Amino acid sequence: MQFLLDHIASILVSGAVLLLVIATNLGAQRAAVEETVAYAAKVQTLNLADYLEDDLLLIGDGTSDTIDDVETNSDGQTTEFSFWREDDLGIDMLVSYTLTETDSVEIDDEWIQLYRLDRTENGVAAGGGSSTLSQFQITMLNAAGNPAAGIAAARLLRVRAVNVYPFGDPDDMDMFRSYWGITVRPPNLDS
Amino acid sequence: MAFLAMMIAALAAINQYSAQIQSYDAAYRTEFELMANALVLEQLEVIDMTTDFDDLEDWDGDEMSREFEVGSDGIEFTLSVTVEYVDESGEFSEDPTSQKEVTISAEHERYTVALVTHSRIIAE
Repeated sequence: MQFLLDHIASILVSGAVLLLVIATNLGAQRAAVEETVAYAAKVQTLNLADYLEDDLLLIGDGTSDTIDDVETNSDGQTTEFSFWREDDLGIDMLVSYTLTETDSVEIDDEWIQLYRLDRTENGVAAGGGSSTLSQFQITMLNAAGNPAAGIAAARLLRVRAVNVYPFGDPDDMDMFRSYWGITVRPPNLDS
Repeated sequence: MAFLAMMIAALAAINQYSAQIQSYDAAYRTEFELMANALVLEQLEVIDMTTDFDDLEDWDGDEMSREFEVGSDGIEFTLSVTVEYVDESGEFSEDPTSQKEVTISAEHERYTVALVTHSRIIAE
């Protein structure tokens, strides 16, 4: 009888230890995946950020016109932002950022609309390409930091973006949101 | 031996979850720092554009709430401004000089210390 009880106890203990080890291992794997996803999302967001910041500072560089058009949809997203600048040959060039709806994903009973940001130069594709944005806004501000009444009053540009990375089981997805924002002061908006 | 095995497995699990929580905290803090960075730089631009050199002291000691808004979401930060005279080397000066350093720090209630601090020297 004692022999049997010892065996049962040892099986229970080894089972508990095994379950704990498996759970810890699964947790470690999940944490590693999440860290990788967070890192990838942040790198992609910051690459876009670098590009956008450098580009927006060149608004009106070498041209008489500056911002050409800003369009916003009902959700407050900037769907079109175009501006003039000079190209490498000294010719006026119209640069446009266009936000296009791509996919939508359901996470925790909430549908998230994803967008792709395309960049064109005189209508020809040139850069952009992030297709996991859930938010993208460019707001024109006046010198006091309030929303500008129009292009003529714009002195600053406030950019906000959220990059979304869904990951995990398609039936029970998790999501990492990578936020980014900046306010740039293109020198040619002062004139 | 069984007790020891369970203790080791439990400790390993606790270590794993602690590391996971630290990783989440670091990722969260990075997000907050990026948001705070955007707000501080915007406020520096606004002060630079709207304030004459002689009136920069008006901002000294100011505290203001600023929200990082994205869509319907918003996270509020507190910005603190200090303005000091600095000499040609950028060192603090008791006496008036032709340069002032505007420093803005951003704090959030979740963290005990400032998330980001930026300074800009503005010349007369």
